[in-house]
Amino acid sequence: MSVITLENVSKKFKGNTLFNQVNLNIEKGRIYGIVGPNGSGKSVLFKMICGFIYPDEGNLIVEGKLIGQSKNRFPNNFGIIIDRPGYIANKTGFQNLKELASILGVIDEDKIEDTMELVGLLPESDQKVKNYSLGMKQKLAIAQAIMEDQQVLILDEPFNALDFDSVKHIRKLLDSYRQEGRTILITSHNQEDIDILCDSVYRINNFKLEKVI
Amino acid sequence: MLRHQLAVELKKSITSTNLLIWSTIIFLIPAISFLQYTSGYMFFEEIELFQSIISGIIPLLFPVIVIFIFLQTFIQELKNNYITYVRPRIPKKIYLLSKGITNALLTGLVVFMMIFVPFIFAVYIEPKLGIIKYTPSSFLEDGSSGSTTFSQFLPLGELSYGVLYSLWVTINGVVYASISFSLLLLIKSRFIALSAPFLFYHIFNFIAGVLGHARFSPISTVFPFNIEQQPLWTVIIPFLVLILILMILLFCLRRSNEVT
Repeated sequence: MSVITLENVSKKFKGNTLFNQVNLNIEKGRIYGIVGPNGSGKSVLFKMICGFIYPDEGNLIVEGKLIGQSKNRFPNNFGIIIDRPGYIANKTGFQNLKELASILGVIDEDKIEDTMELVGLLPESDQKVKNYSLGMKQKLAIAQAIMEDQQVLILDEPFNALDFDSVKHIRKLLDSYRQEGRTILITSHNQEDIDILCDSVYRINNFKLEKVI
Repeated sequence: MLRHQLAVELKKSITSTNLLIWSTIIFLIPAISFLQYTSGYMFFEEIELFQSIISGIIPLLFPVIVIFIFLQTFIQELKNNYITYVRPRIPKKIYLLSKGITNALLTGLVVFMMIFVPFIFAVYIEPKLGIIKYTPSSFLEDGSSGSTTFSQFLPLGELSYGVLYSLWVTINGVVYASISFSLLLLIKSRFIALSAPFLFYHIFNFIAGVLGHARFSPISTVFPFNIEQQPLWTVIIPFLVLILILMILLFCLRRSNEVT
């Protein structure tokens, strides 16, 4: 079953062509890797899929709905990490997640605490995020992406700044989500992450997505 | 969705830090101002005491005070990419609209209280405490102390004057805070966005003074206690300039939202 479909999508960003007539089908319950050099457009591709920016040409269809039309400007049920972790620096990790969770209001504090523990953060810690290490900020970003049981995860460099044990742990977590039927798109500069996790891999080359695996 | 987010934002805003800031603005600043008038000053009427309390530091720092009510917390969200992670949960337009409305509501409430609480204190509470020794109005040549702009409302009753004047300052506070909020979304430099209304306020005061039209200066139209009474229409002039600036900013904001 196709979750995300790109049909003849073209996109220029800041005057440069990034994608030209790109087609892609993302199937439910699989992990996809997107690779490419710096500046090739991985983040822009993810932003398009999330509905943050729209294609100049072509269609982006998420779960049967055309994204960009007035009633479907953004896909639902997406967990994302794009560009870098985002946070309110003078609040604790728990307070940050609670603020984000309050928008949808579908999970309670117990779920937030469980998610923090799942990614290796201490929910009861009164440490402000401004004092977090880069790895802890990355774990917080992962926590917000998964805490509401989002069914599609769009993760741009999810293993950035994580220590070896945490990388292993998050890999396991993502693999368990695949088995639950969640769909995951990741980018990583570490080929090992891509090789271990991904069912399909696409490389951005010459403004197209080339299937590698 | 907007109603739910508004409720979330208002609830989120009630933090111990914010309560401390709001209490300082509503109670501490006017209280400090009041203390300097407890001796060495001559007052004939309670209204004069009220006007003196809010004539000190408040008019000078007015555009800065309104920023501290809500925007200091919003800046924390603008930093460090936080809003990117809000977007999968709620359309950015609705989120920012809820922030803008919350900013206006809280700024309005706190600014209203900042003026109305000293009014209630000066007119209704202080006379019972007897801290200020009023000079009988018979000492005045014409039997009444000087009028200021907005004294036109006094015949409606002191309370009506207090409410109407507090509302006038509130509206101005909301407009200044909304201009800062819009600039924060349009300009990358947060420092410029927050300081622009303050600069506008004081530069407009300076230019109006130099041109010999101090009655049109923002400070004299929002806190008109340092010049003689003016017709009410004069206060509208700088206010209309502010409204025009806000409208232009909102138009730019709408266009930039359509692009992204």
